[in-house]
Formats: sequence, structure tokens, C-alpha cells
Amino acid sequence: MATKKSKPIVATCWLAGCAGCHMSLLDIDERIVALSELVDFSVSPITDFKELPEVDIALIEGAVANEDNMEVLKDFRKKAKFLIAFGDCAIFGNLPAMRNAFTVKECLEEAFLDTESTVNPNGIIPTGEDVPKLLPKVLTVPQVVKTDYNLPGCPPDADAIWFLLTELLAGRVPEPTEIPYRDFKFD
Amino acid sequence: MKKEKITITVDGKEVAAYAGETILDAAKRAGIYIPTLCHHPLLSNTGACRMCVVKIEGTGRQNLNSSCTTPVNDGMVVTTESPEIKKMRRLNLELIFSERNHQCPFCEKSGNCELQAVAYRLGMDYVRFPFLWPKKEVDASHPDIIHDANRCMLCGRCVRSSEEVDKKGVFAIKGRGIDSDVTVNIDGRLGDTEVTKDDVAIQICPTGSLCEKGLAYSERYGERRFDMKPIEGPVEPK
Repeated sequence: MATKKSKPIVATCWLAGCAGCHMSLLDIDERIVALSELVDFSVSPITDFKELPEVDIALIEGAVANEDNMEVLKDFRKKAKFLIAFGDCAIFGNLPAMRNAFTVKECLEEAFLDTESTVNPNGIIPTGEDVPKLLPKVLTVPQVVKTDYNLPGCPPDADAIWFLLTELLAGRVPEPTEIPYRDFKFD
Repeated sequence: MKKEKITITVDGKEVAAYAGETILDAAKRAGIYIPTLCHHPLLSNTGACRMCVVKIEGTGRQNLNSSCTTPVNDGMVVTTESPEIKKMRRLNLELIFSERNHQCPFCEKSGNCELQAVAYRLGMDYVRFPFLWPKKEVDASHPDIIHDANRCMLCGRCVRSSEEVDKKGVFAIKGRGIDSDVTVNIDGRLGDTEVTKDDVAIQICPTGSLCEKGLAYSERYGERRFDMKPIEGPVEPK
């Protein structure tokens, strides 16, 4: 990475979300080939690289629900020149944040003890250092770090993703209202 | 009585207006869009949501005024769009979103929601304030209507239309400030009132707070009111 930086580097991550935003990224169809000509993909659920280098553009899917999400997001912020909150979970909390009406204790007991289908005779709720602790409340990405762009949508429309990435690669940062109306949506 | 005709200037354009009408009505007739949420042409105006704020020049006042409640005066000079006005509307919109649980992807009003449509039109890409995640009630006691307080923005349209148009006075707002809520019979159940799904109060809820049962997700993406076309004004009742 450090030797010759010919193309901008794009990294993506997936915090508390459903991978739908990444699916929408893949949904740019054959343009993914053009995109791979324009950029190098670094850390991403699509590539499975592990160590995050300095990157030019980062796409952050998902809300911040646990300590691991928090650590990953802060690492991305430190190393990304341009960080994009990618999709409704990252921007508004969305489904992962539905638990914010309850305490963490209530959520864990519901998931591991009280659900009808649960078989957990010893009543164990998983803990330990390998299990990231849930945050008291699910946070949005802009609540945790400064974002350089926010692209809403559940998921963001593939055309909106393509529009944004090509604009950024051409050195422009479009206003949200410049995204075609039909592609700027919250659902 | 014939209404007196006067002239006002809106965004540098001379606009004919009638004495006593609001800036919003005069601007609308001149084809100028001002975002609104609590305003509805069938109802009285209360200036609750502050989306329609405009700048009235030459008053010496720093603050913006709600155009839905401010009557026109002859020679009045009004600005409806400026960076300052844009900033205030956006800020206001973000406060509305942060106060309740306005989560579009799992709301059945998505695509037909005025709050969402105004956010689209204004390009609200995120909310800078911490979301409050209040725990609010859902009242599904009525056979045809759901009342979800999580999605309420306290615009008061249901209160006014039930009083002024439906002549039933079913809804009221209880509490103060951020703890206010739309209620029936003080914490009563909607199913115990005479409200029906055809009441204007239900039809013109700008958010997903009052929804007719059985219609959820009946329209595909692309077919809904605001999927392809930006909002132009309040929705009409059926």
C-alpha cells in the first residue's frame, strides 16, 4: 500500500446492520467493474482484508450498538480522509435502535432466557472478553464521529451510491439535493 | 364583502394579495413553494411546526415569522428562501426528527408521509441532535385506525380537523412541551370514541401517527405519493 498509490482506496465496514447497504453497493451491477478500475478496495466485508490502512473513502454501514462497533468506527475515522455514513442504520439508528426503548438487561434476558424457543437450562447470558459489550443505547454514526457525508436509504439506492462515488472521484462533493430526487430516500 | 386587493413583494416578485390573508396563501397563489407541516387549507392555522418561516424585511426584527399565521400588509417585502431561512428550517426539521421515533424503513406511511417528503425536499441527510428515543404508546383499540404516538410530531392537525371539520372534537393535546401527547378523553382509547377512518382528522395526519388499518405496504415502491415527485403542499383527504 505504501509504495505506489495510483488509485484512491475505498474501505467499507458493516456495524449493526443487515448487510443490505453492501448488497446495494453490489447492486450497481456491471458498474462494479468500472468502479474497480477507478479505486482499490481495502478492508471490506466484500474483500475480507483485516488491517485497515489509510484510506481515501470509507463507507460505514450500520448503527453503533456495541464496543466493537465503536472501536471499528473510531479506527475508520482516524484513517479515512472522507467518511460516509452509509444507509439509515448509520444515520437514523433504524432497526438496531429499536432496542433503545428497553434496557440492555431486558434485551439480553429476552434474547437468551425469556423467548419461547430458547433452550438455555443453566440460564447463561454470554459474557467474556471475546463478546463485545452492548452499549446502553444504540448510537448513530454522526453521534459518534464527524461524518463527511451521509447517504440515507434502507438501503441507499444503487444509483445514488454510484452517483456519489463518481462525483467524489471527480473531486466534487454533491449537496444532498443534487442526488436525483428518486434516489434520495429514507426507505 | 369584497376583499381589498393589495400588493406585496415575495422573493423580489410583485404578488397580488388580499388584505387579511396570510403570506403563505399569497405566496402559494403566486406559485412559490414554502414548506409546511402543521398547516392545512381545510383548517385554521396555529404556526405550530415553524417549517413555513419567512423573513419580513424592514420590520427591524431579527427573527423569522411563520408565514401561515402572519397576515399580509400592503407593500410588505417577504423573503421565503435564503441561507438563513434554509438553516432554520433544517434545524427545526432535525429537532422534530430527534424528538420522537421517526424511523422511516418500518413505518407504513413511508412514501406517503409529509414529514418525510419535506425532509427529502430540503435534503435532510442526517440529524445532528441526539435522538431521544422516547417510549411512546401505540393505541390499536379502534377497529379501523392505529394511533402510534412514536410517529407523532404534535402538529395538531388531528385536533383541529376533528373540531373544525369533523365536528367531533375527538382529539386533544395533553401535557407540556416535550412531554405533550395527542390524546382522546384524557388517556382514553381511540376505540371508545366516535372517530371513523373517513374522518378528515385521520386522513390528513402528515406522519404515520394516525393510519388506517389494512392499508400498510399496499403500494409498491415507486407508486407512492412522494416516491418520484417532491412534495408541493399538504395532502388532500380522500
